[in-house]
Amino acid sequence: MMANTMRILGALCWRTWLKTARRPVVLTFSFVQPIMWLLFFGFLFHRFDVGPALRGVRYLDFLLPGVCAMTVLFGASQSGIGLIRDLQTGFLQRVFDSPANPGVVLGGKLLADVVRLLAQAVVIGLLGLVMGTKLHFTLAGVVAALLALGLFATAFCSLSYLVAMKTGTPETMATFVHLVNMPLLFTSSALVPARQMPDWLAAISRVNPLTLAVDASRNALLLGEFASLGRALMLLGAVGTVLLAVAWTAAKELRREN
Amino acid sequence: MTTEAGTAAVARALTKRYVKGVVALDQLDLDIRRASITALIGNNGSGKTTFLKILAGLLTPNSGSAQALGCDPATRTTWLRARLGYVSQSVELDPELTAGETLSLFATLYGLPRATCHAEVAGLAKSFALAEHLPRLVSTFSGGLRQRLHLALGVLHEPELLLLDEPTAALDPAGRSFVWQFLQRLRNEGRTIVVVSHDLTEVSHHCQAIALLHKGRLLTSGSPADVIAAHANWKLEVELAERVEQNTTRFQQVVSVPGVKSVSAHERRLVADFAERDASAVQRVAEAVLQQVARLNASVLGYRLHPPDLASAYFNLTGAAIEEPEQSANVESGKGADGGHRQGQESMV
Repeated sequence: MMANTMRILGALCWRTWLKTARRPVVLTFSFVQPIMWLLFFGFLFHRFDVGPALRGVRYLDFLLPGVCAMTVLFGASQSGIGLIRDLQTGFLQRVFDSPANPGVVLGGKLLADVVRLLAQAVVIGLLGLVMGTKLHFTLAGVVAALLALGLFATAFCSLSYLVAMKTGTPETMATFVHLVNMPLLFTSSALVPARQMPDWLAAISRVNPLTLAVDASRNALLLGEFASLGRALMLLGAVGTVLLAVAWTAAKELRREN
Repeated sequence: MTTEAGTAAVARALTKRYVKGVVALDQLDLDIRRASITALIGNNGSGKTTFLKILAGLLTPNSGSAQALGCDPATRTTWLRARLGYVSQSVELDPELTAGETLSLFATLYGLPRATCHAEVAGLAKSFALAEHLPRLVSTFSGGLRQRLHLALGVLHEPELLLLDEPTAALDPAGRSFVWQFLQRLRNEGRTIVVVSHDLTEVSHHCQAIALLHKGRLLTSGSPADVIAAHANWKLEVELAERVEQNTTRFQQVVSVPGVKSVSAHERRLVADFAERDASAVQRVAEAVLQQVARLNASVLGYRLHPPDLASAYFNLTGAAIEEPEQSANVESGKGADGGHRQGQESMV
């Protein structure tokens, strides 16, 4: 039973990767955008003082973990588009017609998307190193950053799947992406430390899940600090679990209505 | 209600109403025999697809009940999903996967054993003449190839009950022949097939049972031979030298010939439906009709005597031929209401 579930999970994960690989233009642009942010913001604000807590840290070094998290946010929020295509071709309904559990169907895609987004974040991180950023690399730091980004990706992929399954239209998905990405990015600590923000913005930033992911990976990779990691992972895990559960329920409903 | 032995699916007083009050099924009672190919025939909107979708668990009836393999299809249990195959009218494939990837994925989803999975996919691909197309992306497939792959996915898990909605609609004659042969093979293995089709000739040749639906109700059911014997009649099609107005009263006297039920004329064709079913008597009625036509000063270029067939039964029961003006055109082109050819069904006199 478990072996069969894992096999289905693997097959659906592989299918998602195949489709990603067959759209090289989309994949390329998903790398170009964060590199442009890194280049423009990194060099535009290279004199920006990141505050006393991070004294001695250059803005480009500060920015890199934020751009890695941003890469995950942008990719995760668009991950539901694949489900919309599957709904429009009727392929998803056909998959739901099979005896496979809808949770496993969703899980296969989620696994593929999260692993892809983490791989993209790693590539952006490496490109940042090539551009001269200095990070404090340790195995624990890399694992902590990947865990935080992985949980964040799980949450936002689930949200994107939910929107896709509930609306089924690419237009709504485009609106969702625009409505979510920019406010979430600019109210987070991805580009600017919360301490440098106006109070009201700093308050929003503290409850922004992107801030949790950015701060956890920044502290781990830049400062080698893990004091707040547990809290961040717990909160991100809670958000991810709730959104995944809601998306799973939507998948079950869709299968029933199918 | 439990499904009786020998019955794969049952409908009892099955009613389905869509929004805006459209009644798709109205108190439908129908039994589908095990190990048979049963065709659902009827005009567009007669409820065929709705019935199929209810059996597949894709729609819930408003009242009445349905059973598929002894289960309420609405529950859509994993057990039933593994034993039931539904092939929709629209082709539901992922254009970005190859045929091989698609078949392998569904083999996994349906839990085919890993050890035999590859061989089973290869065997199925061979059966559906898809073997050489396995590495190709579905987006590069022709309509016929897509339809074959779509059908192959429906039978991949060897369902006990297979529900097919117009599976031959997009296929060329060779493809159609292949599909019917394949369905026959499944039936010989003891599987039950319910197929929606508008091709009455194919249905007559390949199905063991038919159910004619009209406005959501069952008009008749039984073997094609039984339905033809009970509801079809002989027809005489006369080719005239002159054009005649549709609905002209000129040839109404032909109805007075004993054994003639009705007459219709259009363009250069006159069609007489016979009430007489006895083959020997039919010749006499045909001769009497031709004499009557001659008496009406109409020159006859030729004529054909059509034996009773499913199309005739269909028209008689649904009244479609009388209501729809294009029927005359169908007779002219030698096609039935389904657009299917009638080769081998008509005898030149």
